[in-house]
Amino acid sequence: MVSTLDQFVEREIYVISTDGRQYQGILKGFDQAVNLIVSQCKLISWNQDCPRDEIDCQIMIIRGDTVVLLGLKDPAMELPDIADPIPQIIHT
Amino acid sequence: MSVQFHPLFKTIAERDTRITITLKNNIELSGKLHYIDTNLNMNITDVTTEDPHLVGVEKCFIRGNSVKFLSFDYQNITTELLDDLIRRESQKLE
Repeated sequence: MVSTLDQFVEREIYVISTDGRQYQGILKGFDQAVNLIVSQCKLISWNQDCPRDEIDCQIMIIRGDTVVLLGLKDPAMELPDIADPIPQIIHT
Repeated sequence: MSVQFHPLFKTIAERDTRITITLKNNIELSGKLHYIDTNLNMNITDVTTEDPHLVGVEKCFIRGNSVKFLSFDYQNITTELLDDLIRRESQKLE
């Protein structure tokens, strides 16, 4: 069951979505379809030849079908400033 | 189909086998399979990866529909259960 996501609630998580962006924040809730509620959300993306781009958002609800990977992160580890963009996934 | 494969994956999870997962966006990561369900949703612990976007990851949850393939050590698995299920399934069709 998706209830194994319990262990991530109220903790700092990051999410990679199908459009190749990364969301970082605190997981507040989830449901069976892995729809997520993330507070203090930061939207992070990488583009060719420019440093990483961050946008602060308040609360975000991420639809489950766009979620690729949800992880627990060691906050001490810094993301790279320059990296290749994450490839998109197109579900057919 | 993944319903038939589920017992096989469950034995892998029970033995804490290290597996390598390739996602549809070509991110590759390996770790201990902690939990898996019939949709191939997975919980991975002890994650190691070369991918720069995933630095400092310890545990993660992967949504099943973004998995391209899994690979694991053949020595560590038994296919008896899988064989059995497939046989029963084919008998049903007859």
